[in-house]
Amino acid sequence: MPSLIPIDARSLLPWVLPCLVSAVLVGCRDHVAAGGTTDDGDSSSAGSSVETSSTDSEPSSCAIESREPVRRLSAFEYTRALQDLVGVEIDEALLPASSSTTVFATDDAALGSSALLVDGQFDATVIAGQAVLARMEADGASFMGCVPSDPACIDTWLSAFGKRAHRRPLADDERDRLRALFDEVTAADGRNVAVAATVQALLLSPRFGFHVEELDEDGRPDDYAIASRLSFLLWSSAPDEALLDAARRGVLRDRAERTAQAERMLMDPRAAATMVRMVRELLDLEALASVDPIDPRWSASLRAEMDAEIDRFIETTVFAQDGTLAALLTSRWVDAGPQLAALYGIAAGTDELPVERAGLVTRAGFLAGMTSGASPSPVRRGLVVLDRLACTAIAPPPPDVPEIPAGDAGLTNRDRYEQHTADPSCAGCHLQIDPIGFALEHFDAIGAYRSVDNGQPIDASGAVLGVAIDGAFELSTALADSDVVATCAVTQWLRFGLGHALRDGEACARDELAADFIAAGGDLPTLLVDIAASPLMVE
Amino acid sequence: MAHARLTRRSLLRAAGASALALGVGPRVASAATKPKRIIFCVTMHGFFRPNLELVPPGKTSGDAYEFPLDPRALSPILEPLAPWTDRLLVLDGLSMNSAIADYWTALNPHVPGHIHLLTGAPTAEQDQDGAASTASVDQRIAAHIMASRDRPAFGSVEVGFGQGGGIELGAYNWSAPSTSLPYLYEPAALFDLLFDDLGSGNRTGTDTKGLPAWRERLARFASDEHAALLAAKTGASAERLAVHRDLLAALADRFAGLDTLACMPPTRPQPSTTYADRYADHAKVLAAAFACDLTRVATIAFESQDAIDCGGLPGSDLHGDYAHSTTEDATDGDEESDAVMTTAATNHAGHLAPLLATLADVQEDDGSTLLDHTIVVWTSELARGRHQGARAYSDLPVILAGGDAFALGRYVSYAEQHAPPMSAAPVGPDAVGPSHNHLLVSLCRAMGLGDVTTVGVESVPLMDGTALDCTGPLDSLV
Repeated sequence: MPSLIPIDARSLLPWVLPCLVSAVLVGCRDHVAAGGTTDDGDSSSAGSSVETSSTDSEPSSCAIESREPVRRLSAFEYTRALQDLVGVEIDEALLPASSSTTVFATDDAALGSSALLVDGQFDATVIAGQAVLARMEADGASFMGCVPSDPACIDTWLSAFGKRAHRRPLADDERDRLRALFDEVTAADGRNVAVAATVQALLLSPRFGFHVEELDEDGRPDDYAIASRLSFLLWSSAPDEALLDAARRGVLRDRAERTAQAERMLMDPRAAATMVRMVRELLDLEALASVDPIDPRWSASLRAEMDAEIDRFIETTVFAQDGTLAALLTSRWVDAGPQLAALYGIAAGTDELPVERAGLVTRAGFLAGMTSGASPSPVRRGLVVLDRLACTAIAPPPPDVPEIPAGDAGLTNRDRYEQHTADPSCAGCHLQIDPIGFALEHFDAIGAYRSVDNGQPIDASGAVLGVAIDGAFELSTALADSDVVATCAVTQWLRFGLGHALRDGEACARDELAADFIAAGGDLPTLLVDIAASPLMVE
Repeated sequence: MAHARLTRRSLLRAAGASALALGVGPRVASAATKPKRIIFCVTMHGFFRPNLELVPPGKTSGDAYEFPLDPRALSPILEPLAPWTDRLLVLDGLSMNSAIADYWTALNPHVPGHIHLLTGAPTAEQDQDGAASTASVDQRIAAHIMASRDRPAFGSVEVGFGQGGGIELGAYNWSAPSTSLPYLYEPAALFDLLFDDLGSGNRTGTDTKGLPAWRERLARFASDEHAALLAAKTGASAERLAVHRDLLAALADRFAGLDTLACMPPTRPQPSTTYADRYADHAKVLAAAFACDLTRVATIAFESQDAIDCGGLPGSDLHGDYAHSTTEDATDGDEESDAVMTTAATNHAGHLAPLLATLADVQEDDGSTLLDHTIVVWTSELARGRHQGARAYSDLPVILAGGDAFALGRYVSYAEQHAPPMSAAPVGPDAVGPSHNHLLVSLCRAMGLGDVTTVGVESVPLMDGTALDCTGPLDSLV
């Protein structure tokens, strides 16, 4: 049996996944407003007109489609919200998605419910409940914000905590049911257990586990819904007190208010965590966790350093340095651990990458994740760039994909893939994909630089988006200079934030945002503020 | 902050409630009527069929025939199942005709194979990434069971499919259109899901104090909260809430049932070190779940094996290096691939044998065994590893075992007497046998869904201008 490089269907599947996401489920619209009174005199969720209605106009001609008002939180969102609320960190693995094939975990297709998920969510609430019980037993007043023995304390606490958990004030009937549960548990097991059980009940509510949007009297998302849209967009978590207070005041339809809130929120470390998560999902950086390159230098600790380095790079570049998409794609700033620094040929700690590297797609954490067996996969590398960064849809490969030819003496990795590309059934697509991956051929299966392959000098010439390139630096520069890539970045942020492929009105808004994004030099924090200020947050 | 992975089991231990006799083998709950159970065992890369099929003298492959299985005259792939010959029903010549008809959507033949195998229905419209357009047959059966008064704790459980082990080609199990179910890879995780709630007690009926005692009440409360919100919603929003409401209600039922469970759980499995051990442990936990009536429907999605475990070269890939290179239907194959793929399927037969043994080891209180009331269905996402176009789906072998619904101890070959489905071009079979949809209907009926006539498509258009009816049960099963 000759030694073949398997071009497994599994490595080809990601070709089409992101660009073929079907139209989002559009069910009957929900026109039932929250209605009723709430327990803190709130004016928004009851549908009252807001004091800033005169500022409601948006500089957009796009007819934004309404969103499905109930959508489950992703595992990342659920665990972040739970941590912000109770201070307990939960392993996301406890909350399995219903699909592993979506680009973003926030995609509707990944958000089905299963017995496994519900069991995991219950476990998560048990952990939270036990943590609360421990805090109650240590210092109940500290947790509740009032003296537990005070007869008024429970209602005060329930209103405040319930509002944060449900991301809107408790409705009267909700509060009554929770209070009845509290009294029932208190009678049997005492106040501390009752508080913990009530926290568990709040976390098990659909108003915690789902995005639940209520409408105002005009049939538009109310201010609490807008607050949640903002917080999950920027923090992947629930609104804080300041945002909830803005919702209570009914000011979030005001574009300037949303802009101010977004600018404030971007200063919070939660924004960086969301940015890192979005980029990780976009570039399929989790692939690094499942590859096992055949290389004596490879180790679990090197993998961990690659992961950490790329996270620090994203966070620092966007929030502490230039902040532009171009910087993400071309910056040489690096903060590497000792093993990774040795692989890069630099000193450990903060430094600058060697000249052959620039930006995200030249980081070892990306390159090593795109490996096929013992060799780098120019197909996988090229596909991610083309599909995820340029939003260029690639037709599915033919049903019976021929294998990459064997590694005969003298043939380089590129030679083998070019033989594959020569097959007429493959050439159509590979001529778009492979020239991108070939530009990264200077990097081997673990992302280390190499000048020869199988004794032959590396040929890193290629092309991307119609531009001839030679090597990784020119690839990164071409991507950074491309309006197609900039527009795609906006598309991907909206898909991450909205949880579905863009519909016509949303695509229209995307075009407006993209024009501003490009005009602003591709500044990512500014893009996020613009999205927060856009009609997409209020329709 | 440290990651927390605190399970209810550890909480229970902390509460001093861990005195249950873990480690004792399962014994079955007492019930007047034994529930019917079903396990779908799906392996990857099809079969090297020349070493699976049995053709009696005077017949040729593709003919219609049947004969009693003889444990001394089994094919190489079936050999590990020799002790169970009288409990087997080997079906040959079925065809996933719905997948052939849906072939134009294929990324590669694996993807529609994953979708069609248990749905018998086309992939979701405008969706080429492997999403089903309808719930799979296991979920249809599970829904029927969960609608009954004596429903178990779980409608179904799904195990297998390690990371990178096939799930990325699409799930087999779908709870709704485009909604696949997650899989548990490690048997210990399955054990935790099924058994780690045992013994904490409930506020009603026990003396247990503290937060764990409220679990059933809280799950019920949460289900009711979903119901309350659901009343004000419509469309997809309402559907999402309804699914969650029902799952929480089932969780509450499970909490209630676990406290009065009349059976013993198995020992919690250790992290598995080999492929075979992992699936042997899954078999033990699943048998215990059946014995305790925690569920009646299971799917084991066997991920692709390492080639070296099938006689392949170190570092080689079973799929890329061998599955496509067999000599079946080809002139450019090699016998080494035939041998490796034969070993791969024979290994799977060897994985099935412990499952059957475990089920047969558990006696019900009337002297019958779990195997007497459990249908085991072993098949693959593809008919053959050498999946050339639409030929991937014709001659799909299915090995049934156990249960009391079918006449066992037989080999049944169905005639390939129909023109191929319309989309079989360019590479399709010359003729096809009965649609596997018929088998899915028969399985529904065997599991108590007596009025089911159709699973998946009702018919498939054929290249000769006629249509092949896909409704009704499969012939020759009883």
